[in-house]
Amino acid sequence: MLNRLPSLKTAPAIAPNEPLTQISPSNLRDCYGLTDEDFQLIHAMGADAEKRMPYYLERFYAWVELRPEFRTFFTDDERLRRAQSQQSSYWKQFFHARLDLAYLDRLKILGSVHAQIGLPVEAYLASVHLFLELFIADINSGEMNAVKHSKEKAIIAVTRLIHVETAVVISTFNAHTQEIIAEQSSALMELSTPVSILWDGILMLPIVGVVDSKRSQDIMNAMLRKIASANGRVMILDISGVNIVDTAVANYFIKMTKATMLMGCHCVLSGISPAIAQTIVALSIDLGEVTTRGNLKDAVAFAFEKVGFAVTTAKSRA
Amino acid sequence: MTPPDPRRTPAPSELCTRIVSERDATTATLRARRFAREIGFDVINEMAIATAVSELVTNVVRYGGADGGTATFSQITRLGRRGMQAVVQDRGPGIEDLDAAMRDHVSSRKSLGLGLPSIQRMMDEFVMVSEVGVGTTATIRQWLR
Ligand SMILES: Nc1ncnc2c1ncn2[C@@H]1O[C@H](COP(=O)(O)OP(=O)(O)OP(=O)(O)O)[C@@H](O)[C@H]1O
Ligand SMILES: [Mg+2]
Repeated sequence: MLNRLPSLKTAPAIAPNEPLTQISPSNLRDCYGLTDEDFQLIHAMGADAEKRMPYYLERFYAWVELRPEFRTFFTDDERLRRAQSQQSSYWKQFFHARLDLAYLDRLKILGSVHAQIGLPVEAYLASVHLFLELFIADINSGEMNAVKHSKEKAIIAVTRLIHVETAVVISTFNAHTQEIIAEQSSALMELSTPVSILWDGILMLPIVGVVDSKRSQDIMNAMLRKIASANGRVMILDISGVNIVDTAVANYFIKMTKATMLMGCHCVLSGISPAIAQTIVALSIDLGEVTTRGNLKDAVAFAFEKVGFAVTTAKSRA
Repeated sequence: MTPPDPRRTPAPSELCTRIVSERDATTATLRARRFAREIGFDVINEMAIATAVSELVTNVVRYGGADGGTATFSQITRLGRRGMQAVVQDRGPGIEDLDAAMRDHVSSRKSLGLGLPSIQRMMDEFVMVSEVGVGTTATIRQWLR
């Protein structure tokens, strides 16, 4: 058994593209005080732990059932089965007690997956805590037969390695959560461009990013206020910067146009890209009396005409 | 301890997003669009997929119950063709008359009632399974041409 254990000297070298400051197996070992003996003890418990795995999983899922923040992830049996087999192979790896790069990679995937599915970090920690308690109980009761003569040391070893794991998972989790926040805030850019007056009676508002219910309300308020104060007769709503037009968004646009019409102002939707045009057709949304133009130039020409201006090319400037 | 470099993290083959709020719905929609682009869909199909996902996740937020649901995207292959699959699931009240819900202009709220029928028009495959009191699962698939 001894010669199957990782020795400190044969720990895999850090890959060349790996920055030196990276979490590394040797750093973690030092930081958490993991000794060769710890790895040996954890490894020795592997066979007993595997036998007990069905029991651990049963306890875990009984615990999950009581927690809505977890339950939403297991909407069907198929998913539950998959999660169960993942859990069991995950803990099998743990009892392999091999702190190498491949193992760290697996933990990082776990961290990023947890961040992506939006699992609260407290829920992850609580679940790891549950397993730790189950392991400690089994060490104390002698169920982990292989370490029955060094129970205390075994408990310390398992605790150390579990803490290494949570450290790696959580710092990956963190990095990904930050990415997700950045992704969202750039998409949900606040209404930074106010309604501008293009010409007497002609107003324009470019919409960029995501249009949700709150944002559509803000846009509507800004438009109506400006129409009243600037005596707008045509409002150009340029939607070329909008991410997605679904039925909800189309519905907001229809409501905006209706409201402007009620104030005696004509609304033109411009910047309808080929992709958005196709989507609107597929949605079979009746845009009815909404005037639409492919690009801003055509919308401006329409607006000038509507307020009674003619745009002509000057013949000579002499 | 220094945080690991997220760029070094291998990308998961499957992307799951939890849907509770309108903001989650937005996140899922934007991710669907990026996922589709990475698989190799053109702008038109990328938009169609994102729109279909947006319809489904918006319905989860609107009708799918307090616990919300999940949206899972994956890359799929069949007979040498590649495509994208999205599964949107909730444990809400379910839909009593699925055939009616799939028809144009059927809405239990004052909405357009065009969401579900539009998905049928935009996606290569669309399967909806719903059980009253248990929840709703929608699966859409789009294949690369
Ligand atoms: N996940 C769901 N759970 C329960 N009921 C649903 C769910 N999804 C849709 N429904 C029901 O099906 C109806 C039709 O849905 P659909 O998306 O086609 O229209 P809508 O959401 O009402 O309007 P729109 O999508 O055009 O804004 C809804 O009004 C709702 O009653
Ligand atoms: Mg809908």
